[in-house]
Amino acid sequence: MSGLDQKATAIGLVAAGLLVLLSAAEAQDFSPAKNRFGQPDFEGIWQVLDPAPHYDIEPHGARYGVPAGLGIIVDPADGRIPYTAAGLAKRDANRADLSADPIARCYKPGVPHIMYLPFPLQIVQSRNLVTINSEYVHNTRVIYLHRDDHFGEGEIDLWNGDSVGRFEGDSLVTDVFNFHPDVWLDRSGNHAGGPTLRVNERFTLIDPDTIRYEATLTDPENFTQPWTIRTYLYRHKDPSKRILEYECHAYAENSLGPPELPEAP
Amino acid sequence: MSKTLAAVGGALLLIAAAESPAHHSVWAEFDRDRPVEMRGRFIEMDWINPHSWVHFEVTADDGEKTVWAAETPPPNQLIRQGWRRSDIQPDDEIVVRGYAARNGSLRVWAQSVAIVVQGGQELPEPKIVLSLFEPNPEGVPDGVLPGRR
Amino acid sequence: MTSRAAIAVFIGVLSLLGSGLGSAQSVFRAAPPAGPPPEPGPVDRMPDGKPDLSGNWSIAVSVGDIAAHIVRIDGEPVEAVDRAIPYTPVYARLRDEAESRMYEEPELHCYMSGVPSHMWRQGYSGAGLIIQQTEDYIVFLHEFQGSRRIVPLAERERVPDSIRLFMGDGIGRWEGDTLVIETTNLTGITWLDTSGNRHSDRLVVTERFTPINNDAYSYEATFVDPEAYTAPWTIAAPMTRGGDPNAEILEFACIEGNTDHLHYTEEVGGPSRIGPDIR
Repeated sequence: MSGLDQKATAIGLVAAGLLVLLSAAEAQDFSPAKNRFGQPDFEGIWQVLDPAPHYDIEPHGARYGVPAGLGIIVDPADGRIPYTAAGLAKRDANRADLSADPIARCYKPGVPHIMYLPFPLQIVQSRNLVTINSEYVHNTRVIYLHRDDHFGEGEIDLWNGDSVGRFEGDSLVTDVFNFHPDVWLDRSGNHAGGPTLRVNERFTLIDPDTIRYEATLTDPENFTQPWTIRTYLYRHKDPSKRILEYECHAYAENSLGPPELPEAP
Repeated sequence: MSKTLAAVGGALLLIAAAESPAHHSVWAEFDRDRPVEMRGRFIEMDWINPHSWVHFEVTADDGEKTVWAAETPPPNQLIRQGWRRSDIQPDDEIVVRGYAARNGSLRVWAQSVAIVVQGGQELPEPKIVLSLFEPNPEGVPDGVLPGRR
Repeated sequence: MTSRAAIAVFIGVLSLLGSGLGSAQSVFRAAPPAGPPPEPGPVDRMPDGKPDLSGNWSIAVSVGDIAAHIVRIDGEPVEAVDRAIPYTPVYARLRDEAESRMYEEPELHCYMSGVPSHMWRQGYSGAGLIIQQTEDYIVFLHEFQGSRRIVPLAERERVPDSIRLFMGDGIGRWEGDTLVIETTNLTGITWLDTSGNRHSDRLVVTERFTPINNDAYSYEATFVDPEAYTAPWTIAAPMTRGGDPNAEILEFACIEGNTDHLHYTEEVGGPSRIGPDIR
């Protein structure tokens, strides 16, 4: 191994170690408030600050209308989605036809894309449900806490998948299954969907106003290994902030609007 | 009073059951005065919201084959009636009861779907996967809905 | 309750509450379903003592005909024969034109069903309305159309008049054990039922949820709309909490597969008037 390679490897090892140390430090220093069910309290109105992953979750330079991004993939270390040949072919087909982007059609963004849309979301917790209520076309994810099983593989196609969850220490962890085949991860054709996909998420409050959001995606059909994204959601501090509506398809030309009223008799 | 109500209620039950999950849009295309019953070879199914589609091939007496599409309630309802995607396989034979389209197109608004030939075998009793005329007589089979196992 | 029994109850309620589906407003209204009134009893409460409406619910309002449930017009009780929405002349004509305006049904276009009509939209096999309540918010989730409203349980400033929301701007407050939600800033697009009873975007709806026992609440809604109605009118109906604490709803992907608008022909405002569906 050349001197440069050794240096790169050493830096890589140190960086990886730093990531682990950082994660550990965040987790150890802060213990979140608990709600009346003893659950860590994630309630509030949240939104990612970084606009880039919504466009492309991999590292990318800027282009017109699209900010540059370092990517949100933390594993594998090169920050790229570990597609199989089939997964890559589908991504390339998506890129060749961006009109099939669910967001271009006002369709459900699905999981995990709903978490890093440029729209606020409100988290509400009760005994059996955690709901994640996005402003985007009234999308609500329901995470069920009372069960840990799913529909059979391929029995139902859900854009948001079927989410079950439990609290592990101060984190909410989920297991999501039964995905629709046409789910995308961003606006650049990256995709993760279909009956063999499984997504596991971890929500952790690292301070009262910040959620570290991680998701590991596993699908032997489309990916050579499980891979993980990480990003942060920040609490909206403006006390007047609320979830409004973005009913996408209602604003298109020729969409149904208020009625033309009849003449007064 | 209660007997009359029951008799009236029974008739309304049939109508209400037929209409209850449907938008009026369905009756703009389909004619509730033209009930039909058709038997055909299952081709495939689109399990989509808000209405799913069953595609099947009907063979007339003279041997002519035509492909029909039957519109059903959404998967959310089908799955809770116990209809699983794997229940009907290509080339199984089904009987569809419903209402014909007003304009003569090869579409039907389905009120019941039953399997009569499965895996090449004629079934002794039709296996009903959807019936809006009466609730699923067997209830939801075990293992269909999670958390219910 | 088994899903089969739930279907039977749902269909039974529909059949008994009159069939205004698609027909012009008729004079006679069917009586509400017979049955003994619920007995008062203890009620699940939040830590702050307020009634807890969390759970899954059904509300006995006919999805086809809201007028069957009118109890007061202009503050005065009305007989069954007088249960007619007091429309202004223009909105009475709009209602009469319902048969030829069925293309304007908002659910056909995958819109949410509005307030309060989303509450009594169809459930599938008994599934439908879930309420999630905290001390600060009450959230209504309906599987049909994915209708959702998030209502704060504390006073706050209303959105400006220029903002219209399918589910309006609702604010909740407590009057003793009664939850009162006042909703403004609606659109004129949503309907009150499937037979074409409507409102304008000036509508103000005041709902009152009063517990009788833990599984039985009484529900009232008063409609004030100077463009559509000549007087305020009020409906009342029982609300029943389902026995299954683990009741679930599924996502409702509508645009993703919607072909309902294609049931109509070009003449009745068909494919030329849909959204960005490019299939």
